Amino acid sequence: MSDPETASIQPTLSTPDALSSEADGPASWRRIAATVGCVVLGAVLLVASWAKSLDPSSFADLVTSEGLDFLLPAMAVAMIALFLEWFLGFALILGVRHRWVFWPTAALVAFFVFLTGRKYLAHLRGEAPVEGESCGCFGNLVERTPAEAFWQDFLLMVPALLLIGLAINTSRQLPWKRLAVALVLGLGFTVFAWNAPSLPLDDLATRLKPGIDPFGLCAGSAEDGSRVCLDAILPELATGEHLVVMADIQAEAFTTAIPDLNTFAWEEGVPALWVLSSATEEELFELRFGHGPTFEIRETPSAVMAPLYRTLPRSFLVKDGTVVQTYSGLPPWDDFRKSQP
Amino acid sequence: MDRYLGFHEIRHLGRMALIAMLALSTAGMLGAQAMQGFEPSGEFEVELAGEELEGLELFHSDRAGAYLIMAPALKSPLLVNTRSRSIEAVSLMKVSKNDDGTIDLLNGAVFDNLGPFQTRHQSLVFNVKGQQMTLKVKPALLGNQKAQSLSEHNPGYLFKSAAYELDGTQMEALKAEKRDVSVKIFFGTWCPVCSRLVPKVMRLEEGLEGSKINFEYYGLPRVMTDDPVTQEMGIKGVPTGIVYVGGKEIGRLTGRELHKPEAAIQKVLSGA
Repeated sequence: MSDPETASIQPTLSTPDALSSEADGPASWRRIAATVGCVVLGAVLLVASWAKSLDPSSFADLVTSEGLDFLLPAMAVAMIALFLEWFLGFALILGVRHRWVFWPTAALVAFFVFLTGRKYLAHLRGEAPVEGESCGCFGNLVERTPAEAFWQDFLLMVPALLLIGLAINTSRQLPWKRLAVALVLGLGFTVFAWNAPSLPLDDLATRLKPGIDPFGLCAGSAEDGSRVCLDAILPELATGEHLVVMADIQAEAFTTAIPDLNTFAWEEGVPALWVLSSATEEELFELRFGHGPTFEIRETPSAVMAPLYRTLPRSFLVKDGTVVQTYSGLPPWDDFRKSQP
Repeated sequence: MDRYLGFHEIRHLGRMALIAMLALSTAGMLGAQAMQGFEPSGEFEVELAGEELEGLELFHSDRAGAYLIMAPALKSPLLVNTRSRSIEAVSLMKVSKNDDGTIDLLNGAVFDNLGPFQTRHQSLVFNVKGQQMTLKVKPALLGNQKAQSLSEHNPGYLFKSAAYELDGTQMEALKAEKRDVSVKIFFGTWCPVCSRLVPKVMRLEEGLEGSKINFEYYGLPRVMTDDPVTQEMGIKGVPTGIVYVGGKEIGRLTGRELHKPEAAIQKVLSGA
């Protein structure tokens, strides 16, 4: 039995003449080019799915901000999109060039390019929000301007898609075995994405991890002057030992912990304590006079903070300008006390 | 049948009492420590019965989470305790002024709880003996300013400025500067980072009096993007210092560089 993958291959993106002349046996270079396209595009989709699966909540936020949750809740849309991306990515990596894989992939690529293109256009018109752009298909892991997001997505995906288009399998028979493998893997990684928020993956899923320079954490574009970095918000981190808590100051998880933070803030021999919050001026005022914090809270644009956490609170320890430790939630206060002489 | 305590039980009770006394005195010491080191603050303007409170002296302690209000019109100083959300009357006899301008409250300083305060639109409102007192966040200081106007707006700047120690080596180099240098500091009185860093620049200005280096300050509104000067000068955050030599910009200082302004300015000048 012939392999359905090679039994009937047709260069759909060729001219009609070329199509008829090559229908029974496309040149081998076409198949090689298409295979390269499959691997490249498959890899791009898998890397992008991985980045988004680590922090599906942020992806769901992106779905909401793009207005794509008009039929289903944002998280459901995010999960469906992730499954599609994983499935198509694995199918392409496994060399499936069937039209039933190609056209959905083409639709997905077109959709990504449309989304990033729309933002880029808005940016060119001066309508884009003054925020750090984590737009496009790579989630929060990569900081990209609207222009970078559009051109990177376009150049990474469209040429690869065109290469696949040189030799699409139009056979009626589907490569069931490989599709089944892609389906199982796609489902498996979607289940992983669903459970990712409860897994200890913060360092992988965010830009904040041990070893980085916290002052390199920025958002916004240098072109339009909207760039803000952590060095403008917390310049004190350059020297000494500092414990930074990123928090939603209105959340009960934080307000109930204020007495602990108050005590720690004034203990001797422990790192200096700072809280970063993207709360409004009014909310900060209410907190100060409603809960009596005795530590300093620095207003931080949400665009700077968002790529640094999956859930709040999240904390990190900085020694002489380098992040040395991160914590999901509030820091283990007693560990710092024990480490003191 | 009556039961009398034995020697061992009395000894045990004695030990417990000793421990309790020690714990209480430690707690008292900790509480007392928390009520020390109130620093001058200019964060609020205070009104009593709709009139500005004359001769106001406002102090703040981060550690206590409290503000201390003193004014001739008040019979006793008032403590705004943000932890208990209450206003407390303080005995003037137990307010100790230190040489560095800070204030300590001695043990037993608080003698009366005057009730809770309310928060309304960035203001604190409460009653003092039937009269309404309001603490309103001061409007931002805008436009060109001198160091003196900063100190008048917020005495905390002057206090922090006096506490900053300048680096002697850097100062010598800056004093030896022969060119006409101007340093313009863009800041916001609403910005906590500025309230820590701008006083250091004020101290530097004082230390460089008579030199060829001059300082100017420019206050920006909270919504900086609304300010035409922000856009014109390309200010992306506060505080930002622009160093000019002979009227020409030669460098900018932001955030962490202004922690040691004398070193940062010297570095810019030596590279120019």
